Amino acid sequence: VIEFAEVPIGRGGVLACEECGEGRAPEPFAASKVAAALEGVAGATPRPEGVTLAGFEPFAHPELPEIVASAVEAGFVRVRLRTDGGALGLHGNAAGVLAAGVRHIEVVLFGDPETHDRLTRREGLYQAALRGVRAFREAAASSGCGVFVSGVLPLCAHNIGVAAGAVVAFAEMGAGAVELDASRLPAADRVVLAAALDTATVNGMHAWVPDGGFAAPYDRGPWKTGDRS
Amino acid sequence: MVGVNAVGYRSLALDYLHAAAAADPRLDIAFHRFDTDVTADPWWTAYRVLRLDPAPQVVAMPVLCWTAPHVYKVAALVKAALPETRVVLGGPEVGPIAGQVLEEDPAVDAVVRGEGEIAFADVLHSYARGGDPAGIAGVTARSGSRIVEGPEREPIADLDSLPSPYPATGSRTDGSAYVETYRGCPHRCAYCYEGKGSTKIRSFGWDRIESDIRTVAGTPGMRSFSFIDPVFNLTDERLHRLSDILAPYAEKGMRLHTIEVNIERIGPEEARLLARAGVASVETGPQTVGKAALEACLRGFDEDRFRAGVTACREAGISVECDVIIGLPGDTADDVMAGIDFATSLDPGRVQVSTLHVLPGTALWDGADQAGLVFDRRPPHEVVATRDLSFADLRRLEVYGNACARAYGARLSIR
Repeated sequence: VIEFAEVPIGRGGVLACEECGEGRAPEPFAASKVAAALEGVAGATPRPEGVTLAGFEPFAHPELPEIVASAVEAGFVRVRLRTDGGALGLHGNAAGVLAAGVRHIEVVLFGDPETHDRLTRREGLYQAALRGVRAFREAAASSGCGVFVSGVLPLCAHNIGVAAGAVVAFAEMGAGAVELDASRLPAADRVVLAAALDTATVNGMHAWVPDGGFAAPYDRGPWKTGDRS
Repeated sequence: MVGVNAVGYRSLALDYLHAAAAADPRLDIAFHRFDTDVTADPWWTAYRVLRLDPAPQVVAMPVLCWTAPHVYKVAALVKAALPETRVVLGGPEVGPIAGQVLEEDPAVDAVVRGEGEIAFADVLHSYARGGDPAGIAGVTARSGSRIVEGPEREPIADLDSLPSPYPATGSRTDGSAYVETYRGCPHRCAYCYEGKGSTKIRSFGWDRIESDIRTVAGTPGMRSFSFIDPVFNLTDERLHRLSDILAPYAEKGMRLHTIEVNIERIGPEEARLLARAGVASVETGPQTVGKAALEACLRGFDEDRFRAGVTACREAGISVECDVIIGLPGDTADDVMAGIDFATSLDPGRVQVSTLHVLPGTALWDGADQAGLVFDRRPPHEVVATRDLSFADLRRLEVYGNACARAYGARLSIR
């Protein structure tokens, strides 16, 4: 599996279910602080070749270009942004991050388009993310870069019933892998999760539930990654 | 002569057949040939045949598992429109099961088994005289209402006797030009038909090899080409010789892509010779790391030597494509995932994950029941289930493997 370290670029998370009311006040970290963290991770043995920049919406971070540059300079050949995707398609962002060295985009979705917009209380967010991912893929295709789009589906009481529909939404984006994050559920509904996993398979995507109690090959992704907290 | 190709490839077979038949003094006939690929509509391929004036007396098509559905459709359309036209097939998809093909497909008149250059010319000679090719060595054909299997034909001993498949004007420059330096394979992998049941190697002479390389490399606009040899580094001596021949072209910028190698026989010196020859990328296994599957497929695997070979290539600036096959007999899901993990852990440059196709003429085709393999008898013969992996598991592993390969490939090229 491909090793990804996770380095926070802020706190408060990328996106939260507003129905759960768990959203924390977002706060970006200074680029210098992130660069130091990247250097620290890059110095680990063995050094992971990938890094996920998480913990804060990257396209809302005032120093994103500097942070991505730091990741590339630190020697990471796979730089991944965890994002809500809403701004990816705006202002040349997709081509910009691609040119800066980003090759992986991980989109956070809470459900099918209607559910996603409702739970995030941001109307049109799903469509914006869809446009952003398409822009990123088109920019990659025109420049001959290999890129990978994946997703995270944070499951909670408000969207567990539409998990399979959310997986279809990821498929519409052309995602290749989806992590079903069931950590917020007191007792994961295995039937619903199994349906979501099967929906992913028939749509050509790998999906998995970390620590979901599913036997291989369900319980792991294409990569190892750090703690998301 | 119709070449139906997989996308991105162009089989040399039709070039060999055409060159041999055109040079045969017995044949005073006109040839018309074209290439297409499997993304084309077979009706349009048939159109390109059926619009010819005069109508062709023989339509010949090489067949691979990927191209078979297209070829069979074209054959049916041509036969329906021109019942008197003879349809001749050949290639690894139909040769090993020639009798079955003729029994099941009334549009097919003859199947050339094995190497086709001489046998195909014999078939044309037979038709040109108004006869039928029944009884010709290496050919299974209709004779009236009967299907007659001619005796086995020995492999062509003197490959230099075959006319070069490359026209004097040069080869194609679209990345699909190939050179062949020998036939046969030293390995007997149970899923592969490359060796056709034998480990005997027949080489072209060095003069011929140099001449073919000169023709291909000298084609105006040519920037890269490849070799179809199943093991480019067959012997150390051969690798040295090929490196010597290719080095002058490499110095002028010519690059070789996707050269198949035995990676376990590559150290720093061999990698240097490959790089000197202009090799930019090589393709290799491991296909599997599972002990049971390695045994069932008659493959060896030395993890340390494999890893060292990839490292040597990488340090010489050569990208390695590591292939993993899903669905080999004996492999569990954990074995498949371990193979993918191993391949990505090498950081080879590219990881390719594919699903087993149980090909006619292979040991797995003949021993599928014993090996516990269930597969689609119709081309492309994809595995449906194994003793250890259900249909659903195979599909899940496919998406997992493809996700890993794509995620691996999404990276900066700088190191």
